[in-house]
Amino acid sequence: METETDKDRKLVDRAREGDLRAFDQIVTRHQGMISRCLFRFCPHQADLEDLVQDTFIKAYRKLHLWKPTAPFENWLRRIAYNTGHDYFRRCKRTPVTLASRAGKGFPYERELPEEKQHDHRYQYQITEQVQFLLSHLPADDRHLLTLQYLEERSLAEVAEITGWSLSKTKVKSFRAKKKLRKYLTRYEISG
Amino acid sequence: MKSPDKNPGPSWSRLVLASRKESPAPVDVRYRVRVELEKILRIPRKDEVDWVEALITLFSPNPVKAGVAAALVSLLLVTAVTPVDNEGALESEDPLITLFSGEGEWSDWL
Repeated sequence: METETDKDRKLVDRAREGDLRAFDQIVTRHQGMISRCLFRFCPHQADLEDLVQDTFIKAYRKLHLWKPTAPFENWLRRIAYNTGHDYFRRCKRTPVTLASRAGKGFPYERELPEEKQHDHRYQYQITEQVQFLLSHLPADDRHLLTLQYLEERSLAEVAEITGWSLSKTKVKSFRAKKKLRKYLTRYEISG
Repeated sequence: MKSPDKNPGPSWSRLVLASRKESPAPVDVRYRVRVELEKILRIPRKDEVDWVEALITLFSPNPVKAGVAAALVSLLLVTAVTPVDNEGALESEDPLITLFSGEGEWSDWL
């Protein structure tokens, strides 16, 4: 029976030969997973779509580097994480809707009103709040903590994704959390 | 009235847990990715006019030569066919020439 990895491998082989329809199918198969990953980095629909698109364009350009020994999905996810990191470096602005209220304390809203709960414009408030807090940190720290806290990646996995050694990742994680605590205190948020 | 204990301030761990439960609206970037890849691979789309290509074709050597030749021939034809009588017009307007051509007394000008 053909596994998902086999299907991916066949599509990648065809895409490498220039078959764009095969790459369309790759996008169709994985865009949901990629958008869920990148949503942790960027909870704004328009920017999120740009990041998902960038991820697939990067993947297409690097398609020759993928080795079928590793699942294609994992390889693609790693590109998405790097795209998220680039986004943090490029775009240091705080989430738009929260930035204007930043001076007035942390804009915490416990629960959405019933009428807003099914409206996607209002559904990302918590992720937006988390990214608002993380946006005070340098891009590397923000990336690291996004992977650790929101993507629930272990330090070993973070080390593999970032290309840092495990000991360096541990030290950076410790320091990033220390910096974050400073901002949590400023906004009166407990740990 | 709500008890303050039931409404504690926000906590980082609660925010993180709540954030993990959020998910994005469905995203479909197939068309955008395809368009971008076709740009990268320079595949002209059937529904788009490639203006750059059209301009290059228009000004490529052979059409330019033919165009310049046609313009010169047209210019020569127009020049040959159109009668130009500037001198006559000048003569009729100059009173001195009118005077010398037989009408009036030329010594009036002395």
